[in-house]
Amino acid sequence: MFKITSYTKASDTNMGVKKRSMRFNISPEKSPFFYLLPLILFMLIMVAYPIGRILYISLTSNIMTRPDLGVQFIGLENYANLFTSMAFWETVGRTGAWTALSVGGKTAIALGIALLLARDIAFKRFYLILLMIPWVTPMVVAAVTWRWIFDGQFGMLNYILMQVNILQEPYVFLGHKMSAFIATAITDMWLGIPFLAMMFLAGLQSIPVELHESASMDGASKLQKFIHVTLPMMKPIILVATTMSGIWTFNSFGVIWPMTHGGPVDATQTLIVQAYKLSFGSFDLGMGAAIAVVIFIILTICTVLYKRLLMRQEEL
Amino acid sequence: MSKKWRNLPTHIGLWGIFIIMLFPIWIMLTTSLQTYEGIFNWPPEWFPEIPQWSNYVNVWGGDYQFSAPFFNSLIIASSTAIITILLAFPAAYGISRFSFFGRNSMLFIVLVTQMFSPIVLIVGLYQLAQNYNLLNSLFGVIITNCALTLPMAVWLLHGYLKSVPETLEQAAAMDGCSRMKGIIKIVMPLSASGIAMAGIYAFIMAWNDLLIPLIFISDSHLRPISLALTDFAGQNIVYWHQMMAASVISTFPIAVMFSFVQKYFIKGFMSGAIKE
Repeated sequence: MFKITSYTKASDTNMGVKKRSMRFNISPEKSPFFYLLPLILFMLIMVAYPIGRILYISLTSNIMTRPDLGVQFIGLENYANLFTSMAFWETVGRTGAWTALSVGGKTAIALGIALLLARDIAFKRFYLILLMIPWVTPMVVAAVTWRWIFDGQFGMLNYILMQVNILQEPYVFLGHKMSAFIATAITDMWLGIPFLAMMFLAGLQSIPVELHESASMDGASKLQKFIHVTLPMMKPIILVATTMSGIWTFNSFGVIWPMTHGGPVDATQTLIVQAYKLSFGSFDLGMGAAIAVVIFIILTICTVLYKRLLMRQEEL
Repeated sequence: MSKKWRNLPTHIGLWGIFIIMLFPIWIMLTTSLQTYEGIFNWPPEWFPEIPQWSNYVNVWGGDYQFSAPFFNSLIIASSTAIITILLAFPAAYGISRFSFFGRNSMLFIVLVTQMFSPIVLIVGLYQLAQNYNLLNSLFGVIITNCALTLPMAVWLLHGYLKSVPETLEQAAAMDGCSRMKGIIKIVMPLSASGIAMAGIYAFIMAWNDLLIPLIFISDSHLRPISLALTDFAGQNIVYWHQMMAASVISTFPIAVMFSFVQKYFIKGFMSGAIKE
């Protein structure tokens, strides 16, 4: 005990001289070092390491169910297999179409809701609380509930469509390719509408009233005001919010998996679902990692795009 | 009076939208109160004649033992929230109070990580987790969740801390208060709502996640709710009435938490502060 104190005392006097010559000061009073260290260490292990690891795994042949084959370095062969397979490009196209359908639907409906809520109306708070409800619903809960609504025998949707004579007999929505594709997109839209509507509402309320007033004075109609005043003013926030929502939708797994597991016949298989199935369904880690790398590259490009949009908006 | 009537079409439009939007919630609630036979009635009933509240009791303690996944989720989500705050708060403080080399690129890396799909990380972490026996453990799920919630939490807290004036800390420092003491006595109380927001955000993310437990957990005693619900749905016969009761139970904690921060959320969105 004594030894330690005397040691620190001795070093303290030395430090006084040394400190001035030291380039880096790591004391918590003057330097961010100790504040950032835990986060950086954690992120190195949990983020940087796995990314390096998937880059490596994607260059190997690594099938966990075939330990006899071992792990072999095969260069870019996994990527070659991937890029020459029709199924992969179909999945890429499907992921793009599914994301576009869902985000397009979300944006249109959310903009409609925001335009109605931006008016000077009574019970606004009440409506805002109603709007929040899908947002609070856990993703898997929404997925299983919609699965029940779309149920091919006793689902409520079949009942309603038969009541109004659109259908003559129950239709298995999640068992047909096209309808399963649309049904999963509808579920994803339902979950995402509240966030976008709130963003758009915030954007609408930041448009100065004077702009609308002066447009009215110039004799602009409601539609003209919407096209020439509201939309241009809303453009930055729409771009930022839809890019963000697009990335989330692209990443969506919790909706598709409980509803269809990517089926029927791959009809709802997005890149994320395929990466999961390859890695942990057929335990082909090499191919799974190659898709994960593709996903990583796509997401990084989208984020750079997103950052540009965000910065441009801040300049405004 | 005339203003009220002019707004009537707006109200009708909103009601129309919200009736469709809340339709699944209605289905969830009514189905959860049905009998097993009642579900297969044709035409379906809009509301069960005799509400079966016992469904909730059966799901919680009966065959499904839904209390087990519920508590697993509770452990996962609250631990994720606590670890996220413990790591994110000091980091956000460091970023907002010091200027250092690589500060902007660090913020950018944080932003990029926030967009990651868990699949990118899990494929890379799987074998590491296997080697350290983290498969089939809640701890493995928790720390992987943290990797995904941390970036957004840092981003949120960084925005909050920027709005806490530095002059307060400087004044305290003049009075001989160390920086640590300043953080605990001044900065933390002033950013309490931001800390709560980041914690609740992490909690909700962890509560919702399916992919991580799907890969990490195969022991049925350790399943969280997202996995338990997916497993029910994978069976040949789905007991929809009990499944919907389990869904209501799963939504409940999130709804309660959200109602606490709802005020801040709306305020945040209205002022555009969430952009931070």
